[in-house]
Order: sequence, then structure tokens, then C-alpha cells
Amino acid sequence: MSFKCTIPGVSLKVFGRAIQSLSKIGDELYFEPREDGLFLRSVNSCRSAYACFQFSPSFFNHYVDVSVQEETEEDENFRCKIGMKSVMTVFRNLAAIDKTVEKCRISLNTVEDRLVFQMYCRHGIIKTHKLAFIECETLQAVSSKDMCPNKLTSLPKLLCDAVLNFQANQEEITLIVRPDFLALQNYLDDDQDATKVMRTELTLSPSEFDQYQVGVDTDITFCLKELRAILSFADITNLPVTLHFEGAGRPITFSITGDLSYEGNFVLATLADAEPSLTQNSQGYKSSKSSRKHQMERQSSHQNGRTPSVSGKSHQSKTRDEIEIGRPRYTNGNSSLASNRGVDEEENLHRTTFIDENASITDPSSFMQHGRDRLGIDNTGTKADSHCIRGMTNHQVCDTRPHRGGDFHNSGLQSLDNRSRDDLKAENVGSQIIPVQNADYSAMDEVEEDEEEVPATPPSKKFRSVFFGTQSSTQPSQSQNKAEILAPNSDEDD
Amino acid sequence: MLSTQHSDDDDQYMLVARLDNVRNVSTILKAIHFKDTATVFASPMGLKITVEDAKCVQANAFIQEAIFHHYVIKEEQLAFKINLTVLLECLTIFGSSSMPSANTSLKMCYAGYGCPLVLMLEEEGVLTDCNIKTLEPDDVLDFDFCSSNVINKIIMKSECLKEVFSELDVTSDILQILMSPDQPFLQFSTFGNAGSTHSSFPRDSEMVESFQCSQTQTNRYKISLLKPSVKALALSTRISIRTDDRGFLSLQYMIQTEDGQICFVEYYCSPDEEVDHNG
Repeated sequence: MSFKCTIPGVSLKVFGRAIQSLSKIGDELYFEPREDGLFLRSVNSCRSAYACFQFSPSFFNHYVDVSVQEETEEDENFRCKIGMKSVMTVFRNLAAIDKTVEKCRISLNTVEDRLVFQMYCRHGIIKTHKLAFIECETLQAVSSKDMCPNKLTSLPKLLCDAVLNFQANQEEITLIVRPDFLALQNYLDDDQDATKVMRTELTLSPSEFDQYQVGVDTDITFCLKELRAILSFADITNLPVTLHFEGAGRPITFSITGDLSYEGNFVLATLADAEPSLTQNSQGYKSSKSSRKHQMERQSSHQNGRTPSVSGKSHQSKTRDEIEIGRPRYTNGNSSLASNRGVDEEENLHRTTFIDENASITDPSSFMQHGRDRLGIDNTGTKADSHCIRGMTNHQVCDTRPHRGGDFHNSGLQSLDNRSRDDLKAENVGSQIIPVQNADYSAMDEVEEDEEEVPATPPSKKFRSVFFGTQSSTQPSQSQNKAEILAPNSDEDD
Repeated sequence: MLSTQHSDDDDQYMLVARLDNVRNVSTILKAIHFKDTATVFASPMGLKITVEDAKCVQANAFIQEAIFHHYVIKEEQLAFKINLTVLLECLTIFGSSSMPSANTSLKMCYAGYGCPLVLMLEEEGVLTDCNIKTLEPDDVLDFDFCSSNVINKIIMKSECLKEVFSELDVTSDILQILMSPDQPFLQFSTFGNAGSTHSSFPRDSEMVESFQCSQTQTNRYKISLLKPSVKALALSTRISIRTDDRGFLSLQYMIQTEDGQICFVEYYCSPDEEVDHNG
């Protein structure tokens, strides 16, 4: 059989990037030229990520595939796999390729049994790479993206910017999808000490997506590293990325279609969740949602910027802006709700209940005073607060280091740092929450029984000294409150 | 201070060389710095510094006397071996940053056999004195590369070759160079784990300035021996590639110093194995 195709220089950028993104998925490149186009595929070693690029003949200047042998009864397509390292030697320096290569010809040399990549560069220079390959079977993922009830489409920039907020070493990311909002959270492994890990959550509104179809409320967790590989390809093409997914445990497909000449599909496995928690979560969410809306309506006059229809989480991002105006109260309610969302379902339920109450018991005057000072912190403080609460129930204690405030927050991003309750209170969030906690103490109690360790934050680590002197002044009252509310919290040491 | 020393101390030296910008010398020496020791030959024409490895590869840096603004030598030929690493560290003692304003001047003195090489560097009023022990000069290889034996010669711009050499397949032991009056004219090939890579240059390319090939020759050279030449290639503007009837390779690099003067660095390499020279 013979195969030959020529890629024009302008398309090499896409082709090279496709191969680069495939190299981030697996160690071998599956190469299959067919009549309907050239298929490049890759799968990772544990088979939890699969990628497939189809370049139709229109992508090439010249595409010849004489693959059907007359003598064989079946359609015997040529299929092979090449070591990713080998292919990457050809496409390693994409910037140089962009500048110097005029066209790339790929052909199969049956005599030498090599797949030949010829780069025709400026000044008549030709670089020929003859790569060894292994014949193999077709690689195909079993997934039907068209049958998925949930479909989101957005420009890659939105997702790229969202993903930037997560730490580079973050392994997995949780995508929480509801009809009125979408959230991305970093996923904590069971073996990770939740008291020492930063929690990050980012909310997006459906209006930011080109298409937002949510048939089933879902929380799915998948590998962030692979998502970054997908987005690195999508970014240069600037084509919309469509996510097709169902629920936890079912694969999620990311597809990028380039005006009929090429299409990229990435299928990632997602973490399977336990069934019961799913329903609890949605229940918990609903209650929090309604209470949140309550707050939102109450505080609607304080709203600025974003559309009010957005879920609480997005409001939180707004509250960041609002912080400048000193409207922490709103933030509290929202942020706490938002932060609760990603947490364990059962705790969510408990948490949201008392958080809502918190919101209603707000004491504006004292609050506002503090709030103005801690603009940056308020938002986070709130989150931390709720986070702390969550932590209590989740064996995640948040009262550890002082929160470094708004340093690394984007609007819409809530970083849930472990913070001492003292700090929270300092930001006048505590004052709101305290009464609620009292009320819900029984509920908390139940959950807390499971809770064992509540690490204490040494006073020296507390943020207050950095931020505001008033914090310390509020400390005593706070700790007092704490004593009532969070019994295990050892912050009362100060 | 240097000038008062001039008349008194210089008489004792067999060689006194001065230049305003030490980087003109240190840059060239860095291009051949792949071994610790170098042999320095001084003559009325200038300095030649030679570095060798494995008796297979030799690099020479030529710093002609015109580079120096003061060059006095009392002998026809002076030779000594010196630790090139130490010499370079002394020459760059004021730092190796290339800020045009901070000019370090150099005065190099050598009193003769057995005496150390004396370096005096001055920058903005700060003076540094270095005495580097010299060693017995070993015989250097004579590759016996004379123009009459040259079969193929190509002169080209260094630009395009820089990419070829920087992307050489590290899993390949050898670099094969094909030079021929016919297609593919000039081709560099590596054979690694992934497969083979070939970079070919047509004779009519704008990058090729001169193309004189009478015979098709394919020679293989150990990449490990040629790797050091990449430093010289990176500094150069033009390169001349020559092979003789034995398959020996001569690479000559034309390097422009900061002050616009021309220096040459040349690499000689013996072929890796017996290859028939008839294309």
C-alpha cells in the first residue's frame, strides 16, 4: 500500500499542536490513514484518557491513500503506532516550524519500512525524518458523545482562564454542573490531609458558554493534567470546545471541530461517585440555593456588576468587586454557600442549613465596619468560614494558617484557605455566623461526632497582625463565640 | 599604573600583548573550551590556541596580532600549555556580562619557558593580577590537512546549520556528512533510536555561498567529538566545510568579535570508520 499526504505550512501549526497534545496523553501515536482522513490517536497507560484527531482530506494539500489491497478480502487499512518520542523529534520546536517550514510531506516507505516525514523549509532545506513503526490494531474508545444529556460549548479561552486558577500540581478537578451555574473545584484525594490543602473553587455562569445544555445535574471529577493538554490544543485553534458528559463514572468527551477539515476528540474517564451522595448533594444544593437566592434578593440593592441571575457562587465573584464597596455581608452568605457546594454531600446538607441561618442573623453594623477593612479577606473569609464548618464535619479543619487574602483571587474564584476562625471573625464574618451556629449546633454536633481532630492555629500564624490591628481586638469575643460554636476549635487558646 | 610599569617590567617579558576589550579574546576561547588544557602558540602573527581530544579532534582558535593594540614578541615561536579553564576564569574575572559600557582591558605577559602567564585586567579603576602556571607544551596533532588534498569544499552561512546541529538526535552515535556534486548535494544524517533524520541543503540555496564538490563523499563522525564545535558555530557568521581524500573533516568558522574584527576557529575531526569514498 502507499500513503502520501502533504500538509501546507499554515496548517502545520494545528497538526503540530495536535501531536503535542497527543504526546501529553500517551506514549504512542496511533497512525491510521483512511479514505475519510488521517486518524491520529493516543491513549494513556491506564486507559483513562483517549484522544483522537481526524484530519479529513481537505486539511491537506494532497492526500493519497491507496490502502485497500485487491487481494485481501477485507478492507485492510494500514494502521501503525509510532513512539511518541520519535514523532516529537519532528514536531518538537513548533515555533521554528512555524517560521521556517513551508510544507510537510508524510509518506510511507514500504521498502525501508519507515514512516517518512519531510519538512520542506526555507532556503531549499529539506529535513527528512524516517521513523520506525509497529503495525497494530485500531484504537477506538467506546463512548457515544451524542447520547450525553449534558453538553456545554465555550471558547477555549474561558476554560483556559478558569484552569489557570488551579495549582500546577493539582491532579484532579471536579466539574459541578447545574442548570443555573457551573463550578470547578480542585479534587482532594482521600489520602490528602484536608487541613493542609488549599481548596479552590471557581464559578461560571451559563451565560458565558455558547451552549449550555444540562439535562442531568452532575458532579464529575477527571484529570486536570489531561484537561490542560486538551486546552493547549484548543487555545491555538481558538475553536469552541464542546463538553459531552453524563454523570460521575461515565466518560466525558471534549470535542473541538475545525470547520470540517479536522476534529479532535478527547475522552477522559471520570471518578465514580457513590450513588446516595448524589441525591443528597442535589438536595443540599437546592436548599442552599433557595436560601442563597433569599439573600440575594435581600441584598440585591447592593449588587454591582454581574447579572443577578447567576448563582450564588458567581455572586461571590461579584462580591469580590463588592468588597471594595464594603458589602461583605452578601459575600458571606454567598461564599459560604458556594464553598459548601463542592463538599461532601451530607455535610453540605448540614452546612447549608446553618449557613443560611447565619445570613439571616447578620448584624450589619459591626459587620460593615470590619468588612471595609478586610475587603480582600471578606470574601475568602466567608469561604473559609464555611469551609471551616465543612471541615469540621469533614475532618477538614480550616483554622490553620492565616489566609493570605485576596492575593490570588480572581473575580469568581474562591480560594478556600484553611483559616482560623479567629481570622474569619475578625472579618466580621464571624459575627454573622456565630448565632447561626448556635442554632444549628445540634446539627453540627451530629456531624462533628465523626470529627476527631481539630488542629489549632498557633496565634503567631494568624493573619490579623498582617492585616488589621482590629482583628486582635475582636479576638476575645470571637474566641468566646468560637467556644460556643465550634467546640473542638482550639483557637480559643489565644 | 600600567603605563609606568610598561617600560620597566615589559623588558623581562618575551611576549607582551594588550587589548582594550578582553571579551574579544575570551569569547573566542570559550568556543574551543571543551577540554581543560590548551596549548598556546605565540608568533609574530598572533596567537594560536589548540585544544585536542581523544587524538581524533582538534580545535584551534586564531587571534591575530591585529586584534591587540599592542603586541610585542621577542621570539619567533613561543609555546606553552596552560589550564584553559583557569585562563578563562581569569579573563572573565570581572564577570561575563556583555555590557558595552564596562570594558575590561587586558595585558598579557609571558617571560619565557617555565614562567607563568601574567594577566593584568583592569575595569573602571579596579585592577586584577593573575599568574597562571604554564606547563610543558605537548606535541599537537598535525592533521596534515592541506588544500591540495581537499576533495569537497562548501562555504555557507552559519544560520541554517545552527538549527541542524542544535537538534541533532542525541540517541545517535554518529553524524554522517554527505557531500556530492549531485543530489542531495549536502546532507547531514543521524541514526538514532527513533529512526533516521536527514537535513539536506541544495547547492543553489541562498545559504550556500560557495559549492565546490568534485566527488560524492559520505563520511561518518562521532557526534560526541563534534558536539563542542556547536559553540563555535553559534558564534560564527560563516562556516567552511572541507573533507579531504582520507575523509578528514575541517570546519572553519569565521567569528566576528564585538569590535568587528574577524577571528577564526577551526575544528578538525577524523572519520569514525572506514567508509568508501566513492559515492
